[in-house]
Amino acid sequence: MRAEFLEYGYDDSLRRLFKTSKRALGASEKELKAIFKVLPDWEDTFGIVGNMGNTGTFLFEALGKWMEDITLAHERGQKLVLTTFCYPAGVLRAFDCVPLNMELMTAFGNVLWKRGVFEFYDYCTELGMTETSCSGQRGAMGAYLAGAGETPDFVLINSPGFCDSNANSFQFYASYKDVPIYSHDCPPELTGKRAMEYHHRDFRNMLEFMEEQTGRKLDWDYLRSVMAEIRKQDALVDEIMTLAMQVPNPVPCFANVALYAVKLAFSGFEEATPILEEIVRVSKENMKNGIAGTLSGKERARVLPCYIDHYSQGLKFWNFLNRHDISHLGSILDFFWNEGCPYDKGFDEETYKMDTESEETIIDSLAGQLARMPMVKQIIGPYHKKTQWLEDTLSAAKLYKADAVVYVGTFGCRNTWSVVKPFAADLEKTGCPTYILVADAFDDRVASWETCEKRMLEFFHLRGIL
Amino acid sequence: MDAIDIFKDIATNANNRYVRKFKENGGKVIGYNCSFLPMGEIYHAAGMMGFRLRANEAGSTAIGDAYYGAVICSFPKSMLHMAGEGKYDFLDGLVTSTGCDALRRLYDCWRKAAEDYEGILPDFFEMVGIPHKSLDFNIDWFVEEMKIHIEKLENHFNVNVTDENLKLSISKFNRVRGLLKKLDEYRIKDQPSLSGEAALAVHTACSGMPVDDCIPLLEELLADLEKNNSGIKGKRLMLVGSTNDDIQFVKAMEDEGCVIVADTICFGSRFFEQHISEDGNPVEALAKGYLDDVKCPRMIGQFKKRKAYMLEKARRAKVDGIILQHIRFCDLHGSENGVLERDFEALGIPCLVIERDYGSHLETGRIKMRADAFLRRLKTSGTKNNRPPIFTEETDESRVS
Repeated sequence: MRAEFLEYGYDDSLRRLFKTSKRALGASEKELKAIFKVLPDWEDTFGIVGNMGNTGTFLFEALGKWMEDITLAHERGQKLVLTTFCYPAGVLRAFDCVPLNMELMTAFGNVLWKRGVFEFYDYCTELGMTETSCSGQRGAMGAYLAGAGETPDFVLINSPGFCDSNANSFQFYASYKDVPIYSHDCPPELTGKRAMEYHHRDFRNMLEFMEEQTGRKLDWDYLRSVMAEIRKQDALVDEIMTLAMQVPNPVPCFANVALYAVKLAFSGFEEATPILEEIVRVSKENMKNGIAGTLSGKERARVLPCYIDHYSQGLKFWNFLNRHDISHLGSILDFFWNEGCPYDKGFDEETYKMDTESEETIIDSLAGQLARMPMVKQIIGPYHKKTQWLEDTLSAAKLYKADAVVYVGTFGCRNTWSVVKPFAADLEKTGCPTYILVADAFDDRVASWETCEKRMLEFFHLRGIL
Repeated sequence: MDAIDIFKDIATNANNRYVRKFKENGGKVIGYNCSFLPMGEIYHAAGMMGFRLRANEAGSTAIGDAYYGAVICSFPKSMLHMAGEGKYDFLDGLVTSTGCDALRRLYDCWRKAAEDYEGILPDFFEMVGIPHKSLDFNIDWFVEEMKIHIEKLENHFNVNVTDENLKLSISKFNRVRGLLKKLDEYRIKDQPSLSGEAALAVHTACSGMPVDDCIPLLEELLADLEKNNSGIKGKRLMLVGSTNDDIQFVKAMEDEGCVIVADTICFGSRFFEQHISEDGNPVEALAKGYLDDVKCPRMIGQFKKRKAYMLEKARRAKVDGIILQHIRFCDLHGSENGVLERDFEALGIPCLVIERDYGSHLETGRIKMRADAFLRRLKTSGTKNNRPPIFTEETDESRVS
């Protein structure tokens, strides 16, 4: 690895970038022009983020604070926990720990830096991790394996049971660095007493592990306050996801990322709630004005990415959608399945609820949330069964009046790549145009963004969507 | 025909003579796809036969490729190809599992393939969950999963799986385990009289024939080996990593002048190293025995135990080196092999890391060349950092910890 990549901490570099970006969003036009002369590729990014009112400012502020928490964790006597995007972070904070979420960290480096995180993908491979492992973890994990960042104290994941690649990457880190690991296990069924009890007991065990690792007891009162905030955030998310059903969709095109950034990294933390409030405000204003959330305010098509988004440098995916006046209806990462969510199919137990009455109900609630996190819920069992991927996608495509469904994943995703062909064929049979993008959501070397864009456009044109 | 030839024949023919005989006598055969499933014992207790699904008769992955995506392991794709070609038509039931992500989706892909290939999906078609760790609550859940499965089996086939029958079945399968352990002695002795190719054929065959036929055939093989005084010469290697039922893969390496004296692979030695208690509740004994097994990296967080197990196995077999292989897109074994290589080489054990494809996609020439290069390395420089191999007589065994 080139020495310059080790010069500055990965997390600290991101901290400085977020802080600077927040200030730059408040810059004058003249100042921005000067910035774009030096950083031309940021013009599109700022255009997209700036289209969401103050959402970008709040988002960069929260992300900057999170990066600061990561870099200062050890100085403050806190533990740094290497974890995955779909692990609900609230309980970690209740142990006064700081989550270090690999996939979000990879996406940040990928999207915001022209150099991307290619050096770190390759570093993992140099150490022995397969090149076919999921790029979502490999990017940031390469930095931490190389020591280019704060050193995580232990690993906590919930991916065994629905994503081998994910679990395996974290197992690789734990084995390579010889740090403790706790993995929740997810059974291949979502609902029912058996599943709930299983998650409950796993959660109890995890609490013991956390107590061992941190030397602290869980702060139940703090956890209650986190859960109250989760409820508040869920209500805002529900409002956004309801607004997205409108034609045209008034929700800003990039808001879906801000939404899941809050839910994945700041679930239950009040410093991030204004981000969601601002998305609601901007979306309502767009709706009042009868315009879409795209940069032009027009909507030519509505697309539902049935899995994840594409995190090419410079927000190119969202830039592409904006240029063609395509509304983003939310990817799998925007569906959280809380009680009362607007996409709830009315099926008992499909959603989680936050009940703070007793320690037992708290554990049930958080374990229920853990089992329904994006990707956990949808791909845990056979794809055509109730509560699973096909039913959820079909239901969302109908509710959100999608013109097309697009699958974007990583080449490491064995679970979805194993079935995406029959899954797409089933969607097509219902009349839903479905496109499988053969690319990697994080690693542009698999297929360049320009290639992806051409292929998607070809599909939209051929199917008469654009 | 010698016993070993019969085993080789069974290992390479799914619908083999014993399966055909079993079915001619009215027996039902159910296929299952993971070594963590205690289906051999359960189906035997129901008067049926469990058949561990294999893929070594697939001449292509074309049918698998039509349903699975491009970036998926060629093993389940080969299995599906065999199914599409009708080579699993003898199955009366099919049970898939959550062994790994590619295997778990065999349920979906086989179901969809059945829409295009008539008659490939038996009426009894189930998916069984396997936890990824073995704490008390995981075992409790797995016990319940087994009980649910037994109930479905009883209802569908109108059979009765009693505790007494299960205990008898466990006892019979433990007898097979005991015989395979004896067989292993011929493999690891100073002058091995059983090649790795032959050992794999025996292990694979045992998972695809009725246990009642398996026991006398194993006894016959052991008697043959007892009479055989010849020894196989060559560097002693251990095979670690992804699943393998393809004896040609092992043969390709052994032809270069080595002998695979030990393995930790699925379809290999894993089965006979399990301990299934014959006391207490038999379903609980099966669930605990099969799940409390760390040998596959699907059991997340058990790397240290796995490594210790491999080291002990390598020490016992006095290996000169270890082959760490994985099928392309098997990240579980592939990534773990990376850490194992680092740790084993640091201990002075030479390692060869191979990424390969399975079955019809196996590049025999490349495998032979890699094996040959590794053997040359063993003859000359030893480990990467030129330390002496650890398992020679003069080596201090305390270094293995």
